[in-house]
Amino acid sequence: MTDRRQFLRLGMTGLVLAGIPMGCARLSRPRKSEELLFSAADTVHGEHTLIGLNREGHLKARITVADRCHGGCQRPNAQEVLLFARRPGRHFYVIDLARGQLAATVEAISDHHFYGHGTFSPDGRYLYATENHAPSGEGFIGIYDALKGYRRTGQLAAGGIGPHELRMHPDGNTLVVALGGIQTHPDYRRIKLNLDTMAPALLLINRHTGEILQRHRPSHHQLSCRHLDISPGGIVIAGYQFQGPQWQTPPLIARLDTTNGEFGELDLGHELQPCLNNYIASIAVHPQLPLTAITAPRGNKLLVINHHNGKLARSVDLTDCAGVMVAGEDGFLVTTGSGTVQRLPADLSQLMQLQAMDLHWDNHLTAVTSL
Amino acid sequence: MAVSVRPLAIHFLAVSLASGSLASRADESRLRWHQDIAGGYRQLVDASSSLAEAATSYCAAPDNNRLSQVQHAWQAAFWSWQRVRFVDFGPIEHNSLAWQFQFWPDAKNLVASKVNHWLSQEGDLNSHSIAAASVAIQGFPALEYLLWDPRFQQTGQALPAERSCVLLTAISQHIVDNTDALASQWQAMAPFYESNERYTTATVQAAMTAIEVIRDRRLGAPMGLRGNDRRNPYQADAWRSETSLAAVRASLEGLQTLFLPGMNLELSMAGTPELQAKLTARFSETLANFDQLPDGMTALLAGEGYGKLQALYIDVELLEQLLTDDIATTLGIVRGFNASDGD
Repeated sequence: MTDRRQFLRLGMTGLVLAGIPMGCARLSRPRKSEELLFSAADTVHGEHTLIGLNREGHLKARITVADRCHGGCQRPNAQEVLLFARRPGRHFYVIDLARGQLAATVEAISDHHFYGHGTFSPDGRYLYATENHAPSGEGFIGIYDALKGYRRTGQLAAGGIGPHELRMHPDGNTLVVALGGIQTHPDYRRIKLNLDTMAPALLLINRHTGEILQRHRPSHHQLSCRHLDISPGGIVIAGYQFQGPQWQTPPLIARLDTTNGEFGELDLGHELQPCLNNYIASIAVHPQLPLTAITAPRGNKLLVINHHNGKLARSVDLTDCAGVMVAGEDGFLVTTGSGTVQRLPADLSQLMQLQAMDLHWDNHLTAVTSL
Repeated sequence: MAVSVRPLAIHFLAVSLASGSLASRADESRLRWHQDIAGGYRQLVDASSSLAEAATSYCAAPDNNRLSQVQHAWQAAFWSWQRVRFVDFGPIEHNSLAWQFQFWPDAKNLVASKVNHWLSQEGDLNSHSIAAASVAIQGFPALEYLLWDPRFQQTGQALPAERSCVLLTAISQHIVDNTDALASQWQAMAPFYESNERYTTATVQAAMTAIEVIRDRRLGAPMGLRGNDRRNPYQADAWRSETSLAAVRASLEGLQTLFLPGMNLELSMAGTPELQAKLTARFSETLANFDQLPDGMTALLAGEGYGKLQALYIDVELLEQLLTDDIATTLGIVRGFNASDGD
């Protein structure tokens, strides 16, 4: 008998994903491609897995790994998707999409760990991964050459402490980096060591020269800038996690127009803002629609904003919502810590539950096109 | 676009003014919890102040009697911390305060290396330098090392060596500063805590987590029940002072005194008096184990007293099941995977 967990009935309306790999440089959609969703997930028994689902809802890949993983990205022009161990992670995992199996495990160089996110150059050759140099606490962006078996061939200074998620700008030359500002050290696990002196930022960094082209500071030094996404037109939406008192409710969502450097924070109003519990998890900017989906798992809210005008478009209650990604014409897909996969259609009308699995989805989804 | 880059002062406590509501019945449990936890925090302030005073008076005129007073004061303050250790939300989250009070577990023995590092240095040493130092030296375990660590006692730096005394008083004072901040910020948070429904969930979840930590890490790990079969007293907290079990007792007693009354109000409002009675009895039965138990764990792990530890472990397990499976489920409280431990 087929295990129900191994045969995911996502339904025909389910995972009709558009050809936009969210974590990486974007590809034009080839014909006969298969749209997939990849995510890290922990089983109810605490086993760490990497899960891939295809559009028919079948399990395409289920790989057990040693670490709890976090973000991921597809390598452009290749049958590879990468998932990163969660900070302080020592590995990233390369999955061969054709076989649905682990192709390689790449270890961080000594004294460094990953923060859990990466992005590729548009040609798919160079991987950029956010890293901590533990002895100094300085953040770096490690550069890995995919043609040389992901050898680390260089690094860029990340402009401070705690670089977290990063994306390739549509110009192909600029990295957009969320600098969390929080110092941690593997000896102290995940303890935050510098809450008084944090200096978070949203950065644009030239990937060839390392030059910091723009640095935007959140309105409070304890607003840790963690996650972001960018539209084809260069609009960045970034999410914060506030490290200060819970009874303060500062803005948590930033908007940057990279074309003119206009930076601001969104005011969600006195009703909604306190409900988010000062924590944003994932961001997915829709490339065709002016809509950006944002998860706030501590507030059990899925938000959609219009990223052109910065206004709230929709707020939906969804317990422990975590990963979110664009699903083309079908709007957005969202996962929850309790194992469900939900779809919010492009008209934002109502959530539809596509699947409930016996596992905990981690914070991020990676949209993947299998050639 | 609607953009705001406002000073935080405007946001400050604006949300606590929510509707100027009448204290509905639903708020009663949070009123009680806030008040009980405030009492626990006040006790921690007092016990920490006594510890700092004892340290100062010992270092002014060291003798064995005063040393033993410092040790007793350390225990009282540490147990006061154990009583409120379950509260993992609110001002305790600021500046990693919980870690500052107790850096644990400490697999790399950073407490020892940081203490030795500070003792071998010449520079300024006072509560301000401690405030800027590693969390491993900011709290009770570093003091415990100075007061009890057997190997350290054999060195020339053992108390009352001058710099060790300076370190003893500086850390004690830093703990006092932190407890003062914690207690006053908890008071300031009252309207926000009491008017926000989500703190009912947060408080129950905090108790669930604390009991799991007792079962899995404070008992299960040293008992060899966590993967490897090796019993190891150094996996417990407070092993240097041989008070691992006394610390667990203080944590459970803190839950019984500071958490249970509010929980009972909540269960009473939910119309489930049978759960209320079960939980009250379960706490008493679990705590009764300690009548037969020593303060430390080492001897029980080595010898035939292990059965008593197993009995305690099983009672903690039953307590956890009652709270997580029956009570939380009845109240519709679910712990989120990403909500509690995202990134």
